[in-house]
Amino acid sequence: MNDEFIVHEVPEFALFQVMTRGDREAVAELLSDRLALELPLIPNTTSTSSLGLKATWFGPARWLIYSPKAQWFLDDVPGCSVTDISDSRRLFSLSGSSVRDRLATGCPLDLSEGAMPPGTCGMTHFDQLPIMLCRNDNDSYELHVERSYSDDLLSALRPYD
Amino acid sequence: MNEGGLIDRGKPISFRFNGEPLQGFEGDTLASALLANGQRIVGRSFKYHRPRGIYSAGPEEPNALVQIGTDRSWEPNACATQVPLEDGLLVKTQNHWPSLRFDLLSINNFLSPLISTGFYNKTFKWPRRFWPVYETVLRHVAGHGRVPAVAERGGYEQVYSHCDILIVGAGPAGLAAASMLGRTGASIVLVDEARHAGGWLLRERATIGGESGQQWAARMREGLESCSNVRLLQRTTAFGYYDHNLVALAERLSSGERLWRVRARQVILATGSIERPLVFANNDLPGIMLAGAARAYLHQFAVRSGNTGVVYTNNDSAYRSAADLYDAGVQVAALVDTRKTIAADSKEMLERRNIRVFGNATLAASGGNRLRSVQVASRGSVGQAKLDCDLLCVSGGWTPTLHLHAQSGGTSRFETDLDAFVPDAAKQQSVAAGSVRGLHRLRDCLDDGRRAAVDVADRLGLSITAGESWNDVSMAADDRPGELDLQARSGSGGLPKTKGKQFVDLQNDVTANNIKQAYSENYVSVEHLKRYTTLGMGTDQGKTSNLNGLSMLAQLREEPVPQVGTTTFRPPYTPVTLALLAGRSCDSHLAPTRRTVMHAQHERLAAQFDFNGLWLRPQCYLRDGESVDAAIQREALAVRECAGLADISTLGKFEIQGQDCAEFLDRTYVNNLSGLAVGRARYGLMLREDGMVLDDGTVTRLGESHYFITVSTGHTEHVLQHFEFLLDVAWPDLDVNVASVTEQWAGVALAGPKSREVLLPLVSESSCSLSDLPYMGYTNAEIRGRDRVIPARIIRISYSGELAHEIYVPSRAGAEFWEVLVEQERESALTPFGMDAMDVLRIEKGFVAVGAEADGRITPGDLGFERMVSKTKRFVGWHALKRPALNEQGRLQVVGLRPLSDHDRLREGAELIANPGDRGYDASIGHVTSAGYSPTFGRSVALALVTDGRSRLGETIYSVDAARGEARPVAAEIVASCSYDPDGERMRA
Repeated sequence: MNDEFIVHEVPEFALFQVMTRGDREAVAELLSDRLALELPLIPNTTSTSSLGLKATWFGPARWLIYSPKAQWFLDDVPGCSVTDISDSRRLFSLSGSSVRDRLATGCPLDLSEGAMPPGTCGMTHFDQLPIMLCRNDNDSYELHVERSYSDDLLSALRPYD
Repeated sequence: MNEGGLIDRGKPISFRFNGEPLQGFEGDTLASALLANGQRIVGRSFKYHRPRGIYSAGPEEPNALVQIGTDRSWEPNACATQVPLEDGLLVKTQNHWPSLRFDLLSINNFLSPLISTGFYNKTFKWPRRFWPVYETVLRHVAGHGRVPAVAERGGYEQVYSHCDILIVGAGPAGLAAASMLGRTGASIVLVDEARHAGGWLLRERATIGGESGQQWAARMREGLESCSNVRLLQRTTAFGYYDHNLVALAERLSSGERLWRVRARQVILATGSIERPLVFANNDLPGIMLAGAARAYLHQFAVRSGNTGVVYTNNDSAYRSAADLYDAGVQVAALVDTRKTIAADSKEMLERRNIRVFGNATLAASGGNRLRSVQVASRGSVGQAKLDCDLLCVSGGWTPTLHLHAQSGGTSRFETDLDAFVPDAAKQQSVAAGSVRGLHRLRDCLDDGRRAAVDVADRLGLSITAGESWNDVSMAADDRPGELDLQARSGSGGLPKTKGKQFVDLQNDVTANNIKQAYSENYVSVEHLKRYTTLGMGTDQGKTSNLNGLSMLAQLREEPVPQVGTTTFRPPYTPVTLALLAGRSCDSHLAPTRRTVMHAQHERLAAQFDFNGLWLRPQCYLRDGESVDAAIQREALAVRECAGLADISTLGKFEIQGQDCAEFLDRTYVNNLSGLAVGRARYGLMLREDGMVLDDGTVTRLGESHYFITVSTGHTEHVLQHFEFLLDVAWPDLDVNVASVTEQWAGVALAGPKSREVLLPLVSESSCSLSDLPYMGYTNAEIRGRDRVIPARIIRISYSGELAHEIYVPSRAGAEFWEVLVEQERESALTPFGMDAMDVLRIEKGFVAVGAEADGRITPGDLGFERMVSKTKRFVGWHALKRPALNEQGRLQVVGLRPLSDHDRLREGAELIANPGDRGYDASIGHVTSAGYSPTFGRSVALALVTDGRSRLGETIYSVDAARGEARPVAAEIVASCSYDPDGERMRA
């Protein structure tokens, strides 16, 4: 059996949390214009811009804005609160032919093509560790884990003895 | 036998049974191999230690429980009928001493008049202090295997799975449904306990459209294996049906097991049915087995279960056993049928084979270590016949395997014709199909599988084609399984007067008399009957015994069976190992461990870690040859005299933003925070709705509409929930956003009179003026890292009572920042200190901790914080604080304790009493909440909750630490909670 499973840490990035208590559609539109990046209003979906920015639905009227550049900075946006959380998480890219099988050993989400196509994401857990999982365009996943859990997560992702 | 069966005679397998080398073949189960080797006794019974043989061919097996594995690592209570034979398998029998054939404990059999129903409950409860003695003996005598001495490692996997349709059971109905649904493209999981799909088709002489049942099953299986959308799981038991169509499966792997959690949109329960025994004298002798099991061993494993057989039945299905055994060369002495009327063709089938049929008759068995003969009594006449035999095949009808249907919440109804409960309404998205519905004709089961397939396809909107139709379906004598004799199966009705126990539950040695006795003692509910007699307990959970037992109870109560009801079906259907349920979540993965970004640095400094919630935090740092106590004192003293450094990254941290954030904080904290100037910090206290302290921490105003707050490490999630509840439910109009930044910022506390000197050279002067930073002031700063500038938030907060700074840096720079600080150590004697030293420092200072002093029953007034509570605003808990009981005398209040003798130690958790002789619960006037040894004072320091404590300053009270075995009361004086620098000059310096 081909059981290729590759875990690759995203070395640098910037991550900002955007929250609003106001008109979420107006905020989404404002930010979409400013960043040339559509902010998803549909739960558990993501969108990407041509510059590599990525927006992730993170709750009603909450988004995560990801930039592949560590020095990127999101200025204050009227009507919402912006918080830099670039340091709070570690990001891993998971790929390989057995990526879904391996994730299914600890993650209760339905990872099938129909249930979780590219451009979707979900807050979930792997074993008992809280994670966020995003499906990329290709057959790979982006896994977010809070920094303090990351050692445990890496050891849990290792194959069974 | 030399031919037939689904075993591979080209692959012999060697195994050992109680040390004796035996041989079987690939495809055998342990039970079939033991039968083939003529091993009749496979264990001793639970209570009376009677010899027992293999009784069934499935998971219902009550007798053949063995221990498999090596001497160091074994599995007790393995069900021999379910264990596939593997090369080198080591098998040991259970429940006997000294040997299987000669068991001294079988004396219980003769003592049985003394060991009545409830013997254990009645006897061993007095005198109470003898229980430890009883326990030691009973543990040895009690049955069902021994627990392995060594913990299992590895081999236990878990997997989550989602599918459109889960089909449980690959018998005729399950296979018929799967083969139709397989072509729809829906994702399907088909599970079956056996190694090969087919269920009873592998175990009967059946024909489907010109093929044998075995051939048909193999063809269906191959067809399904070629469908990429079908996952066929063999040797897999669906053992639990939970809410929202979650079904748990246990897959047996060659080494270990795998737990599947399958979330299915639709479930087809084709779980089949289990044959019931008949109750008669000595019905437990080795050589007696279920009639269907005898056919299974014959057709699937090519094993004749005996040489001379008798069949005893109350229904037609067992006629097949007589005919099949005869055709396989077993001498069949007779078939004894309890019914008056016997179908002509069934009778004719046996008469053609010269097998004698006794109608309207009952029997009793006799023998020693195995069955020798049966005595047949015609109920109409007095005549008795004695027939020698070594095999007795018994059938009392069929019980549908309702377990999963019942676990899913589905209801059942009693079918009098079948004398059994069958599924009625489903509660979840499931459909029952096949013999679980009480269908016993093969054609009916196949058709019912197809009906179920159409049903679920319809529900899922799948288009389904008619598929294969089957003609010429036949199975001998399967047309009338239902005409049961209801009297016979419950042991009454003109039994021959033979001595001998009539067992209802073989696994737990429960006899018909036990049930009568329990009834006479007024145990008239099935659930009570189960607990009192142990009927239906054990590893088989009464799969063969429950219905017989409860119909006996129904007769005694003179009520119909449905009135009596069944016991509750609970998961698991068959036993599963705890290791399977635990999977990876054991040892270091038992619970998640959270580590700060400075964890490696602490390890290098020989930190001793302890958990706070899920976080690992340094308790102290050991230097060469140093004890923990010495390290704590050295660290605490270093902070008081010079400077110390502690990792406080675990504190919960939130950023509060939005136009209304000042208003929000005013409503959640008891003190005024809207008046806090930008660039300043304040200690804050928040309450629950009921007025009790929820948490405390610091609040720093970063900007007009931007606050940064810290909360207790262990309460972070709780406080966030509290905030989100208030914002979503109570105040949806407030423009406030709460973002968790616990993981964003690593933090250190730099404390001690020289802490500013240590920090100064690291802070770039252009970024801030540290010397001008006032007490409770906040500034942004730039720290000189190795080869970069680290942005930092510096707040002059002190939890030690010394001049101190809390410094927060982005987590990715946390480790570097720690190292840069520690490098200062050489020049300025900066000492890393752990949580224990921090605890000593705050106790000296009288700072309360949530969890210790504020234990959930404590108001701000109890803590001595009345003045902090704002009188000009409303906040969460405001109303509740007005309750009279919270403002009366007699409440616990926080005070300090000082032992009268410096040599006495005060300890956390010790009870406090007013006089040294006081005893009893009422004597307690409080307890020690926090304690430590203060190197500054050279004695214990402690905080305590004492009834009306603040009005008793100067009184001497006594601490009793009975829980730690220290009964001697320690005299201590009640003092003000703050012992060190009460005016706070040092921290404001």
